[in-house]
Amino acid sequence: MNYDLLKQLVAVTATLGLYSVLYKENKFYRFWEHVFLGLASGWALVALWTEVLKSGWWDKMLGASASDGNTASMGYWMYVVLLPIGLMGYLVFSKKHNWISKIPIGMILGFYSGQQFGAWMTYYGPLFTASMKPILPNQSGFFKPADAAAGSVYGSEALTNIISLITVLTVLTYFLFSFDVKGKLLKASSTTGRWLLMIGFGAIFGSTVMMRFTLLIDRMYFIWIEFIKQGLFHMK
Amino acid sequence: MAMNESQAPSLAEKLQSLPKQVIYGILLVTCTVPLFFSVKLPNKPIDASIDFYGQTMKLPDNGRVIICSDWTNSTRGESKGEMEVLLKLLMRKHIKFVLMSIGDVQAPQVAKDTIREVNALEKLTGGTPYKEFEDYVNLGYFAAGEGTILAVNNKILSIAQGKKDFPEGAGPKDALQSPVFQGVKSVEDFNMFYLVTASSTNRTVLERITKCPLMFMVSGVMVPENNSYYAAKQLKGLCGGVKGVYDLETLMENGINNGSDSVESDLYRGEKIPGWPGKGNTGKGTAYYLALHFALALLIIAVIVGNVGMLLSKKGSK
Amino acid sequence: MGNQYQDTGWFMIALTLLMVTFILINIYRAHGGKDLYIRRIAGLNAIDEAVGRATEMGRPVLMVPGLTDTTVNAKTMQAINIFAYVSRVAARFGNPILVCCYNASTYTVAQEIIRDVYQQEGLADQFDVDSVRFISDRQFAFAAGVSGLILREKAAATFFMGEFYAESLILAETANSVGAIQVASSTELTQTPFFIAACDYVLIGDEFYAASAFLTRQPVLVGSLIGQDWCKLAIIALVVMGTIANTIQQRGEISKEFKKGQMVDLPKPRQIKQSDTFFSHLLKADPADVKIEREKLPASELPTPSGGGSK
Repeated sequence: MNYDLLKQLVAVTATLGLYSVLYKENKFYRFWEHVFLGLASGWALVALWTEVLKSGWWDKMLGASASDGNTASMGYWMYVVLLPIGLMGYLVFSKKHNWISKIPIGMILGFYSGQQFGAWMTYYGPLFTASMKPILPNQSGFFKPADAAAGSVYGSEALTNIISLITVLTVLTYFLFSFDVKGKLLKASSTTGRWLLMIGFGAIFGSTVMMRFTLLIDRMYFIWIEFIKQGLFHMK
Repeated sequence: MAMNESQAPSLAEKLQSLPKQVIYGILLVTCTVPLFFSVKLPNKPIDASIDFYGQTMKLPDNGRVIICSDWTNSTRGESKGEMEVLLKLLMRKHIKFVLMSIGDVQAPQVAKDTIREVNALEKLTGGTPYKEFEDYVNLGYFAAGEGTILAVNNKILSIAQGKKDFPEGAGPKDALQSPVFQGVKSVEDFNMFYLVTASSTNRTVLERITKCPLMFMVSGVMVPENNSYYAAKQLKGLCGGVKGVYDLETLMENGINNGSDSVESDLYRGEKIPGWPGKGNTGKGTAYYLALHFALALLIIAVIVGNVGMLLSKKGSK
Repeated sequence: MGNQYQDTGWFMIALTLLMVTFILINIYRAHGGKDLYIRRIAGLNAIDEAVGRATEMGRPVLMVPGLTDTTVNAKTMQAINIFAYVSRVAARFGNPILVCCYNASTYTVAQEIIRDVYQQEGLADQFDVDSVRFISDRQFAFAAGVSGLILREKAAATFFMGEFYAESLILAETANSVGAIQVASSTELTQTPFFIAACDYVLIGDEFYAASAFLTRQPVLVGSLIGQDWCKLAIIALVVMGTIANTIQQRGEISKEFKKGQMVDLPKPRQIKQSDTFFSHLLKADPADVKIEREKLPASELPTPSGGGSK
């Protein structure tokens, strides 16, 4: 048995092990659950050094030499300052000094919040513009012909835009929390918002179920086609 | 329910309480049997997929792009098919790429395995396999996704600095020395930023990349959300789930506005975008699409059976 | 270099500053001791009911503050705030708790906050350090681990709040199978439908942040929530104004267009597109474009309109 086939056999056994929980919770499932957790933790530990600390910090601090011995990239010695900041996180285990561990967490939160200003604008700018669509047609006719000029709005498109606008506005009113929903208009708007949200959730539900089926089909493809048909029986 | 407890369960009860093991069994058979039959279902690609193909085909041959690959084997069913079809497109147009990941530490390895498999497939149909470091450079995983993507937008060379690429059969090489980075000063020197993801890194990228056009390949569950970004023109194109993959495979086979079998589209009116007929375009999309239809049919039947059961039991209780 | 604002234009910066001002004003008002009104959302009753039920059954309350990809963020913090309230109620009744964390930073913060809760209640000796656990930072390994815990510990109540992805249904289904009462909220829109299908009560979208503000009454959270309400009203006004303006403006034609920072004459007047409108320029919404354009084919090579067409 060659190495690739052996690898596939282990993967097939693991797949069957994890799927066995569909019948009921059992030791075979539990075994593979722990193997899975262990492998993931082991991989994460190695990757923490190779992909995060070494390449993102250690190598950048030392710089790199090209094959001819010249400097390929300069080292940044200031990166050494990051070490004590990172180590502060471990003081969470000290009863006396665990407040220090909040410093790096505060820095992380600060960096993240700062970035959100720029991110907010980039994200919402085009979405706001896309919400401001004309709600009255500027052309006669209901359906858009194939050779319609850019910027022309036909009846069907105007109707779509009205539905889109109503959805945006009513869903926004559903999420207002600082006053009681008592007025007739507000109540109607909020209820409409909730209904439209539920319709949206239904659409998401459908597309997600489709995705889950695909993941199952992929596992079946792996077991029946890649392992049994192509691997064991060498059929095309 | 007004029923005598000593009676055997009625049809209504039976319909509503099918043992879950039976349902799982039927589902497994339904998802497996169609995989043994190679049937090409008729397809009508959606605008998002047509734009994905069209915009990729508009990129200059020998161009340069970034692929942020954030998927792992957890979503292999959808993401691998997407990655395969993207790689085929880029390889056929000889477009070099930078490979990176902010989603998961396993992602770069999974992406490299896929590149190896696509290389083998392309070789079979007369294509040239891609060499690591020469044709693409792997920057690996970046832990701080938000900061990294912001740095890609503002100072891309800084993220590659000190990163090593590990091409097969050679020692580690400094990523910046790769031909892919030759002449690169900023992210504007890249023709496109592709993101293949099944997690929320789509927001991270969308919010931070402003100087390079974006196209996403997302899992089915993310399609409704990302459709809004495509509609708001934040994305140049979108490939969503197995339908997106099947669309792209269809487009690769037939092209756009390209003759009788081709996909006709007003989006590219006045343009003729070719495909590669018969050049190994079928992949995961074609393989899974039939089985998916059977599974969805089963779901619809299950919903009907459950509802009929409920109606019958309601009638019985009156 | 490093100028991430350059593409957004002055209006978006002004709008962002306005939003920030709204939030700061309200935080200031809340700090000033003003009792600002927040509508009580129905989901809050469900939280109390779930903890009460777990106490009756003497089985643990299990909480998951979401699967934040990288580090602790605002969503995780809001979830942990709600869990602090849940833990406080559980601590008073001497009910065991389990908090399952996805990454190390979340684990550290959650442990600190939950420990504080027990200390504030004068029950520091009852705090079990193992009640806050790091499970795994691999998505499905985490899902398998938490599912195993739910099944083995027979959790009576489960709280899934924060960022959840494909594992949402696995967790909710497993908890459902052991008869746990479940309150959930995913900041990921795509997962909310699954929680709605499988859980007893779901906080939708911003209700999650409202719950956190309502329970803690922290001035920063209360002020932020009300500030955000003002922001939403401002956005409603902006969208309505933009729609009316665009509807009127797009009824006309233009003979000049704005290209690369200046007005250029058009060969012949054309219909106004959305990208030509005042609001579109104001929001500077055009994202980066593909630089290379394919050559247009001569008219003789164009496909005929009668050639069928999928569109």
